[in-house]
Amino acid sequence: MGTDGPLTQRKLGADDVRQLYEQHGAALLLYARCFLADRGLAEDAVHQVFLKLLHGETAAPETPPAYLYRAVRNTALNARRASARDVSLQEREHDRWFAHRGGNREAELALQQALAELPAEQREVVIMRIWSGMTLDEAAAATGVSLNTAASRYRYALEKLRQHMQPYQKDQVNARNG
Amino acid sequence: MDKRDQQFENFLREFTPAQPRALPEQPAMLHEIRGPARVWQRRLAVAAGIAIAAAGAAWFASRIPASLPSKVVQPQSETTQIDKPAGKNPAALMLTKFAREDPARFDEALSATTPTGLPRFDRPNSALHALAQ
Repeated sequence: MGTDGPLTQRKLGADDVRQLYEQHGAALLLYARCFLADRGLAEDAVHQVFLKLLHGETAAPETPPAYLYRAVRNTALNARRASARDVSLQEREHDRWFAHRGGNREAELALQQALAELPAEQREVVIMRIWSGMTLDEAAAATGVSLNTAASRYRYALEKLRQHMQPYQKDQVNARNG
Repeated sequence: MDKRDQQFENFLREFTPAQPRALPEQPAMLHEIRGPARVWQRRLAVAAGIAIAAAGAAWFASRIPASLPSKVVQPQSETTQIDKPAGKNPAALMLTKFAREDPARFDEALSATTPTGLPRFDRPNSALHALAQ
């Protein structure tokens, strides 16, 4: 992961776009859902960005993941303004953001809530790093901050998530041990 | 980044974000998704045109009977007697002949033909009824 090279001075081909969608689609949907309570609206925001790439309306970005995150954020924010509704945690909990490999539904909801409670700038770095496989360099470029700032945000976010998720991680370790 | 962080990262990666629905396959479908507003605008315009044409036809059809003069329903015998010109009425010719040649027969014939040969004024809907009053 994090191997997306620069693609400049050309349009992205359909296969390139679909490959990016396979690689980053789920994480981008998760990212969009931080702004939009409605899953359908979040999916629409992600699709809108990829469809522009498929139609060649957007030149091939130098760093596609960074572009995708920026574009999805802008599109989601526009959609949120248009819908004129704020996103509440209660609304978010009705919809599953994650599927846990071990099927721990309680842990899924805990992570969902912990992620929703993170400050936006910390949350986006975590999503990029953990679920999109981007390096901290790429996350810094995508968010328009220095590497140090991105790394700092990431550390803070990880610490907060760890506090929330520690019981579930311990359960898992205990289950493995015996 | 220490080992503890890496373990926690791996733990987080056990949670898979929900997959979005697949991107459309065909360019036509993409066009359909991009331009639903245009497609619906066209459909709406056609539907509005049809509705206006249908409403206009219905209005026009409803206006035709109203614009025609309504027929006055009257008994057949009464109208025919009134409309027939006297010159073509055999009874009138006969009465004229009797009046010139034989006044006595004229009176008989007049009495006999009056109920059918002359316009009646004793019916409630008759035009002459009003005049007679």
